[in-house]
Amino acid sequence: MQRSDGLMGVIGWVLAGSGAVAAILSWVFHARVEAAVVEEQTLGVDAGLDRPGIVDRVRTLQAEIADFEGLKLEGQVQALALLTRLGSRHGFLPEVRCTQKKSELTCTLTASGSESQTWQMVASLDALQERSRGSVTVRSCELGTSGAGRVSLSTELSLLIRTPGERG
Amino acid sequence: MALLTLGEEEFTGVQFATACFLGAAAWETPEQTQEQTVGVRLDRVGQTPVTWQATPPRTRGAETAYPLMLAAMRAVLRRTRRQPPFVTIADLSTRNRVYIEVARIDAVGITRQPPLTVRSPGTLARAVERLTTDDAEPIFYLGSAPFPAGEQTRLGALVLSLAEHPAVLGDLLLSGINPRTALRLVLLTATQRTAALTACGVGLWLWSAGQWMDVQRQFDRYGSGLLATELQPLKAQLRTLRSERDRLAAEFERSSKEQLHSTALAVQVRRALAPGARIERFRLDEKRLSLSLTGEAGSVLASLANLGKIGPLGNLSFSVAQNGTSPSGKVSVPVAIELSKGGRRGRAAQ
Repeated sequence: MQRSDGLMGVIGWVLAGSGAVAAILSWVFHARVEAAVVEEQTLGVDAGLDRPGIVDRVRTLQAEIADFEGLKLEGQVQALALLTRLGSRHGFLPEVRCTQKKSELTCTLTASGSESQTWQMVASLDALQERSRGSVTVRSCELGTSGAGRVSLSTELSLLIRTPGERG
Repeated sequence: MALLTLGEEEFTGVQFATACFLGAAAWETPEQTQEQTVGVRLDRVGQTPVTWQATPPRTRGAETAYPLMLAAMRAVLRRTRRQPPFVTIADLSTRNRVYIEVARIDAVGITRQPPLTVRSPGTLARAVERLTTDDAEPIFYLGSAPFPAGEQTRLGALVLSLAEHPAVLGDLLLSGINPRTALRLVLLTATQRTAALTACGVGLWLWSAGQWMDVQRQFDRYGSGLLATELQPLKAQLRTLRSERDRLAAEFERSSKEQLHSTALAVQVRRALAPGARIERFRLDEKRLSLSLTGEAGSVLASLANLGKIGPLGNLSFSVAQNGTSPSGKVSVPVAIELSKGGRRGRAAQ
């Protein structure tokens, strides 16, 4: 009886001790996994990807960002070049005034020409803003007759430009 | 309190009250520096040094004898201020079991008799006689019941009763121990403790199994890359790229929302013009399209009617009379058309 009592005691202690060790280990591991899950959830839809998946996703995102960045203009000079090229295609030399504010460039374009020329210019500006997916935006557009069949055009455009910190 | 245990031994009633504290060996050690022989503990009662066997005796039930007598003697000493030698009878009997210890203390130490299991004046007297024959030595009785006085009136007369009630006995014995060095009490029997430990262990195992299952579920959901530290930089890169992409997309989205569909509107306006009317001025911004129409009164009116379909017209100042006097019969009307956001987009899609 004495011996079996001792044995029982030992079994009880062994069970309780091993249970405690198991509980501590699983608790620690569980906490780590929970933290990792919280971290993983910040990835949103990309959560739970393996290495090739992540690499693939990173590549896609980089391509998308490059696309967006490619749509942006490099600076005032490129904006001026773009607008003059556009103007000369329709046969006039526009007057452009630029104001830069952070990553947004506001340009006021004034030009005058024949009515059809001016309307074509407006149309091509519209086409440009469609093509640019928002990089070039026409804010206002004004046409007025300035006599002798000439029409003056004054538009305000806002262009997205690359900020120096961003990758090209 | 009816049944508590001290280690493997079970005691009841007053036996518990004494045994748990006394069996806890609440002795006082005179000096820590005193050399200790293996298996022998030094203690004292008042000025008297007491050496007693620390190793438990072979017979069961006697383990508490020394601590019990130590505590009893010390209690007597503290209560009566009487120095050894004297004889003490400690009666821990309950209704079912008799247990009486008789011991004498002198300058040498404690001399004790085997515990008595018969509660009669005769056996008590014999036990006392075996310890001392000197009638001048006081005999103290500490018991849970009154001293069994019988035909042996000589002993009855000699005995000084200090406790005759379990509660008094308990208090008295407690006053003879040193609670600081008392051993820890055990709340459960060995079997109960084993059961409790087993239940606790099994519960902990089950809990950790639950945790593991939860972890497994998370792994099933997020893949094994969840804890892979080598993927952390990649994930961080992915996170920054995502926020970058989202920022750019929002920027472009916001920008393209503000777009004016000038060509589409111009086409609409031109279509609305009736023959004979001409647009003098054309201004388009975010909220409104303002233009001024010139031409013959009739065609201008017709054009205005058409323009009203594009959007609500603002206040018109149509002054025919003044212009009507001119030979050409021309009118000039400034028109403002309010452009609602959704409407403009809808029309632009036409």
